Amino acid sequence: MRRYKLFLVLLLIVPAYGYCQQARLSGRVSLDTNWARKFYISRMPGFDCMFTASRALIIAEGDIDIAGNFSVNFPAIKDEALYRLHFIRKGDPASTLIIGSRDVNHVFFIAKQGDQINFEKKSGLPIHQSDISGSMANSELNALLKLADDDTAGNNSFISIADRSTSQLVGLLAISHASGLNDGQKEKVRNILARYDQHNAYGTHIFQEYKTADYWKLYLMGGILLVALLSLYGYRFYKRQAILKLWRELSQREMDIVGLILSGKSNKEVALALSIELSTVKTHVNNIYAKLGVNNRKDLDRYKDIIDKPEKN
Amino acid sequence: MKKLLFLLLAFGAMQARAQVVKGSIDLKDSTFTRSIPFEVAAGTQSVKYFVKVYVSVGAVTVSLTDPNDKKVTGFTIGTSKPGGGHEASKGEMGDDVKPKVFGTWKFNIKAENATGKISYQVEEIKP
Repeated sequence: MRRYKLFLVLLLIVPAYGYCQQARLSGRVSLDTNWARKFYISRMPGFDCMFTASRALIIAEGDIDIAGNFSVNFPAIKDEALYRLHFIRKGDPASTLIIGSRDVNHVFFIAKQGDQINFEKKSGLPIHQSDISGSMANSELNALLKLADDDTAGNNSFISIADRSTSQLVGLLAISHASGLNDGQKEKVRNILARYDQHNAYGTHIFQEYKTADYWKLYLMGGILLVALLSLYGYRFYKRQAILKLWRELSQREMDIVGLILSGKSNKEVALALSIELSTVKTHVNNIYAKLGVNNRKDLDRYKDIIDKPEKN
Repeated sequence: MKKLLFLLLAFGAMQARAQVVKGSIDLKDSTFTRSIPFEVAAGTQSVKYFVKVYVSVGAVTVSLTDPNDKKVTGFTIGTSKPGGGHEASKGEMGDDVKPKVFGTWKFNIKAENATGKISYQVEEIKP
């Protein structure tokens, strides 16, 4: 009995869950006999595909009844997305796009999960964007697309729509219509975009285009690098000067002995090379150690550079 | 008889004032980028244009640009299906506009491995 109950619950939950991930479009249209009684919904993944026709974009389709009514539940995502509803003439492929003429066959709309979108073709031809309704976003979209059709619309109009729009998708579309902005307009757009969800897929290119250049970060990094380099150079310079100061306290004989020691010679070999007693060499070596502040032969290595490049001394 | 003569003369005059550019391109697994220019002379009253593209395989993008290379309109049609394979697509654009910019307008066509047909027509009505 429990199994049946579980099955019953699942039977109710699964379709309900599926329904939640959908939106609904209902409409009424009166098309003449040249048109097929079919409608199609395509999802536009980006603004650059708004005028692309391909079967791959169609996500739902249905029939129009004799009275011209139609409706369909279609898959929708949590966030607003842009869709296109289109009709076709008899004999045309499902993915047919007609633009700019009296036979224009499509309208755009915005929907997210749970939305109810309406299409009501007003009298006369052609199909018009204003036939779509159902949410504030769609009212704003209709206003924007009307403006976009107006050749005289300037950038300020699009920026103003983006500023006022409650729908980020409409705002992004408005910004995408603006071009050749001056510095002031760009700053306004940046301020508007700062309020938007930076992960909105429709804005990928727009966010990139209007990204504030983080010059101050570059300057800061460059400054830190410069200070680090100067510090390193200063430290090495100071160290070398200190070594040179000590080196200059040596007599010429002591310098010769250091040179021979650094070339790998033993005290005995140094004595032989300079034709002096071994005890004299040892005395010199002790004096050298005391003057240079070293304890053994290995510590003398730091003077090798001075001997190798005496001209820089 | 006079009426007929008048009608013939009127028709002849209309023909003289209308300039038509039209053509078609057959696509067979074609890949190319091509521009079809047409002159819109100063004072042209209206320009009627119409472009129709049908592709069974591949993709075609058509756009109309004004003499400043500003895109006025355009569309792309492709034939790929979600599960693979192809399904034919069709695109049409046409309008009757009163030009505000005079000079060389262009239809720009980009075909990618396309099989199908493109046809176009432009009619200019001069004063």
